[in-house]
Amino acid sequence: MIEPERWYEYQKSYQRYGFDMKPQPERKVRTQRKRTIKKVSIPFGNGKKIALSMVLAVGIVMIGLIIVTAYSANVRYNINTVIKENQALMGEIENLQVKVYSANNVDYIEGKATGELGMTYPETASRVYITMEDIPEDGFADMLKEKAYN
Amino acid sequence: MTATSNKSKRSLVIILCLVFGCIAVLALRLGWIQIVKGSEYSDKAVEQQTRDTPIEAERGVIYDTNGKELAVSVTCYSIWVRPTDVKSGETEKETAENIETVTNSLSEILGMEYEEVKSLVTKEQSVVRIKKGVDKDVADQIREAGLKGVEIAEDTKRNYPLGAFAAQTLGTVTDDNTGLSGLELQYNTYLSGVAGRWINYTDTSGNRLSYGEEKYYQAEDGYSIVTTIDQVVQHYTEKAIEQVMETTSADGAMAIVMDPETGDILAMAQSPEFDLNDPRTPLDEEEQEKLESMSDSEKTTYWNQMWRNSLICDVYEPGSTFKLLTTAIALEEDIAEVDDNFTCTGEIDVAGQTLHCWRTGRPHGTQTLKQAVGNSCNPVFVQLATKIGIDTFYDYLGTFGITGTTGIDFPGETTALLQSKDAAGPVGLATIGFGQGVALTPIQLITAVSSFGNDGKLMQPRLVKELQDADGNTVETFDSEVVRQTVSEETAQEICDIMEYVVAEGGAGTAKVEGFRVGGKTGTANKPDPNTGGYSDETYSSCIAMAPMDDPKVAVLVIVDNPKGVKYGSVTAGPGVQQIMSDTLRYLNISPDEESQKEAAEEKIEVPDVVGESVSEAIGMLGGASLSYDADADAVAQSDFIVTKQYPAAGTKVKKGSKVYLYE
Repeated sequence: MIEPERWYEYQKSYQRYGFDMKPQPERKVRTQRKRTIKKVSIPFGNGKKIALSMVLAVGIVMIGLIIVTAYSANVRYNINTVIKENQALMGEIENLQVKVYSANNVDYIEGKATGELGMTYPETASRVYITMEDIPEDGFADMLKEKAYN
Repeated sequence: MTATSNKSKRSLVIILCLVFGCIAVLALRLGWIQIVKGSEYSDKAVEQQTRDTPIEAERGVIYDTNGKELAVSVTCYSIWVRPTDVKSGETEKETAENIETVTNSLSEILGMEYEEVKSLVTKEQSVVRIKKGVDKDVADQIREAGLKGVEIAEDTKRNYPLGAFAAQTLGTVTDDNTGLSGLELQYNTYLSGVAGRWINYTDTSGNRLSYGEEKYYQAEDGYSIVTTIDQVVQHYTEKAIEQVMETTSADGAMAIVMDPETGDILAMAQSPEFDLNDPRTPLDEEEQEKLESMSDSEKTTYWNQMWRNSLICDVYEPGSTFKLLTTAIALEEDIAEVDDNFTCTGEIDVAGQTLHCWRTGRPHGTQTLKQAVGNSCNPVFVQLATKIGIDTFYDYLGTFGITGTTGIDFPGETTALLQSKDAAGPVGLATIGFGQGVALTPIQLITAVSSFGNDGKLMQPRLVKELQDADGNTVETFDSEVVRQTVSEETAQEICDIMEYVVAEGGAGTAKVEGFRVGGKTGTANKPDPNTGGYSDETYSSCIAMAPMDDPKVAVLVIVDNPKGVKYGSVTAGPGVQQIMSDTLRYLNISPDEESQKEAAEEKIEVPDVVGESVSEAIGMLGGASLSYDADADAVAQSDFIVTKQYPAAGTKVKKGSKVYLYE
């Protein structure tokens, strides 16, 4: 008989007694599991060696960080120095430009021209005014050349 | 377990508890600092490390009309001293030696008095400034000296490469480069720009740290201004003014050169002037000594007077130059024509008061209006002013811009002093007609007269024509502005003809420039006496001219304040106008007209008849004929005597520029 048929038979047999005779599944008895320890092999060796290696690695990283920071500070210092030198040079350029402007003073140039070089302003009679109408067709260059080699 | 081991165990436990206790306290303290006070300390650290450096905006440059630099900003250095560092020494002897070394070095390098430097170095102050505006060479010397307690800070100062040049026009700045007077003040908003900020983390020495935030707000440099001043014309004008001062020994002299067509001021000069790079020191040594003995308030008054641009901010009585306006009003209102005849009897009665002609003893007699302007005959202008009427006259003064301001872009422009219509009355109107009893600014007069050379259009005078950025790009242009039409073109042309006559044959011949048609008018007005309320013997002698009269390109006004000796405008200011006009017309490449060139080419000239004329008139007539004069200087200074004899005689053909001797 299969289970449902057995259950039916039980119901039919014991129903008049009021018993619930549903067949229960079999309970397996729990047995204690054995722990299996997996052995992992560490390439660094034992615990002390691991700690030493970690400390060493961290130390190297920290030292590296210090070196990089020091290098960065050094570069920043150099930049600051160059900036200051640049500003000083820009200031010097400005001052030299002012001296150039002063030397280009009309009063100074006139003094040199009339005093040292003996130049004079032309009199009215010495001036020749020309207009666009006065320009020869061939241009001034030819005319001057002709006059010069005449 | 033994008793000993129990005791050891107890001790260990106690020590352990103590250690844990300490650790707990430290942990609590750490928590207190990191968590409770964390934000507060963090803020303090940021405050301490953060440096907020203002980035000074570069002040704009002032250029002349051709782009030449008139005012620039340059880097300079300030020398500071920390007295506590200087005075620091282990022994008194060492301290004294430090002070001595620093004082000697600084006084030698900076060129300062030893006592002055010592008092600054030993001052009871944390930081003291020894000197500012020091050049890089000097700063380098101090740096190399390695003086204890001495620091050098970078600074900016305003530099004027041309020194004492257009001083009252350009103006000055304060120590922190803010405009104080002149164009520096007027355009300070544009010139100064906007300061920037540089926020970064720094160490105690101010060097930037490699970590930390950095914020940089770029400074906006100021705009540069391009003025209408022409450096060359300004130079010519200043040279002429200097010559006038030398010749006349006047208290002062001033001049304006203007383009009548655009209103551009080509030059504005005043004497005495000052060096813009040292604005508090007068150029004259005597004045320097006088200044040193003054109190602080007296010095302030003196400096304000020295920096004042009298051409815009002060008024003066114009005298006969004002007659051009009266003539223009009369012609415009059809009250008179150029050829109308007037009679001068030497005096004229106005409301019971007698007003005299300057030639009382020898009245001009019958003359046309044109001749009256040439003769500068007062009674004629009294008649004209009376006929015009006070209401119409004052309306025209408003039209000419005399009752208001010209609107020139310069601070402190003042208005004319004019009697009210009720107070003036007929006598006031009469005197205003010939240029006394009214005080106006030189810029008002030249602007009004320039309108005649511009077909009657009154232009607004201007000193600045455009703004440029640091790269030289134009950011804003200020165009020429026509204010209004003062008189009709016809009237303007008639006035120009009259002005030309006054130079050619009238009293303004000393303003003539060979080869060019020049028109002008001279004036000699007595200065008001503040003590008596009347007029003193001191004068404002002036001359106004334009050229070339067919199309005026240049207008010049020269005013001489209290010339010594000969006072007449034709003798004092006229030659100054002639010099400025001659140089300026040549520089601007303005061609002379053919007729004037032919006249100039004539080698010989006929001597005019000046016998019977006053010496001032005679000088003007000779100048108009391109002849010079010679007369007893004392006699000329004492009175405007009548010429009784002349040599060579009238009609003689002489070379141009020859001298004609005038005798009393």
